[in-house]
Amino acid sequence: MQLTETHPAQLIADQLEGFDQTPARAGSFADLYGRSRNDVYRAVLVAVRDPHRAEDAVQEGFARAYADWDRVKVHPNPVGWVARVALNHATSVWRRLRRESTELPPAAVAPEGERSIDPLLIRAVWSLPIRQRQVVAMRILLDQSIEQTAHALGMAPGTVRAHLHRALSTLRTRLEGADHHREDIHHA
Amino acid sequence: MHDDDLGRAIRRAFSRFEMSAESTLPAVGRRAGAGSTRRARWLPRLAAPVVALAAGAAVLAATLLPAQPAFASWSANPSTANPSAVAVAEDDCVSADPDHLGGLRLVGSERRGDYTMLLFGDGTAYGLCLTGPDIQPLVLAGPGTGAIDAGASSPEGGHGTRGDQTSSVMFIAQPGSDAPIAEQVQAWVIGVTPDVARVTIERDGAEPTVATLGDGVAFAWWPADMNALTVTAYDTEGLELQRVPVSEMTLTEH
Repeated sequence: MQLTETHPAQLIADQLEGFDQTPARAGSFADLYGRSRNDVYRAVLVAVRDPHRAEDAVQEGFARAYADWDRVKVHPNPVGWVARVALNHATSVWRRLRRESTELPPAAVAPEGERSIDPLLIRAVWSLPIRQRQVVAMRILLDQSIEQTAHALGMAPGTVRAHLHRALSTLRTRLEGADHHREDIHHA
Repeated sequence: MHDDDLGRAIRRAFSRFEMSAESTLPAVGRRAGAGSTRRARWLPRLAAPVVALAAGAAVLAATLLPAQPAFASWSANPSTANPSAVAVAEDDCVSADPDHLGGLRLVGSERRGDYTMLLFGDGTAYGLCLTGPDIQPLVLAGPGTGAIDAGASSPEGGHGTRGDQTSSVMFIAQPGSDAPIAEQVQAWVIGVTPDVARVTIERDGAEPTVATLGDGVAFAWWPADMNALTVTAYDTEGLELQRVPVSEMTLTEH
């Protein structure tokens, strides 16, 4: 891949002092970054619920991927690798700070008049316990397999299945409850 | 709504989020280096006792519980907790103390009677959580925290280290708790070397308590009605690698 001055990966590479920045090296990394950064960001956001923290964590994940590119480029699941690093970074920073807001970010609130279930679903996902959110992030947002999710999160595959089952059951119940509520309002 | 449809709906809902256009990666040279330095600093501190011993140690003498659970179903031999029970217990534990457990990974679990014990850790910190039908999720903690910083086992002078570095067992910390029933349960986490296949904790007149092994540590808990006397490590052939009298363990109070 031929990089241009405006390519985001080049902007990244420019900041990486002390690392090999050959076109081939940066090109492969650029491909991974351009293709997956928003996917990883959304997955991390599901888990950490804070857009700024998620962004910082994703940046850290990609930065470490670049720094360790010789290993990551041959990794069977580089997106999962970055996501795992980002999730670990987010949670370790969070643990160090020892706080987590119980209020959901404004983005989860439905804009006036919006009828989509999206805001409701976002709120419901963010209301899940953290382990369930992590599994949803890896399994659904990043489409990782049960085994890949288990490896990334340090869980047994059966535990991943159990968390996912509980998460989806909870979400389904909440959506159905919201549907009934809407119908009640409609018929009133 | 089917799982696939729900999954698609979740992806669609979150598709509204994108990283900011001006987002760039941090200059990671120093940061990555800092991480390596930190790890390098921890390794010898952790490796020293592990190499020196058949069973290195971290102890969480824990305690707690509101009511007076009898732990009648408790067993000296742990069984495997099924994944569903582990998932439920994990959610309950992390929800009960997200500050301390949320950032740690689940590294082990065991079942003794009706009770499920989970071990959380990240290689430098550990936390235990006990769940059961008659207790609230009980996070077994280090001094003032919910997670034991394994770095405190440093021979250079962490919590509860023995004076000489050839000691067989070393306490990382003695957890404290404000729970009223702080003396009903004891739980230990013991660092083990790869050649350790079995760890038992012998107590006064009782069947030895078999610890659960995983991820470089052994852990166990028991109703605190009897004192532990010795910790014994065995290899894969059942040969005793090391027996350490608990009375020789010295805790440095902090």
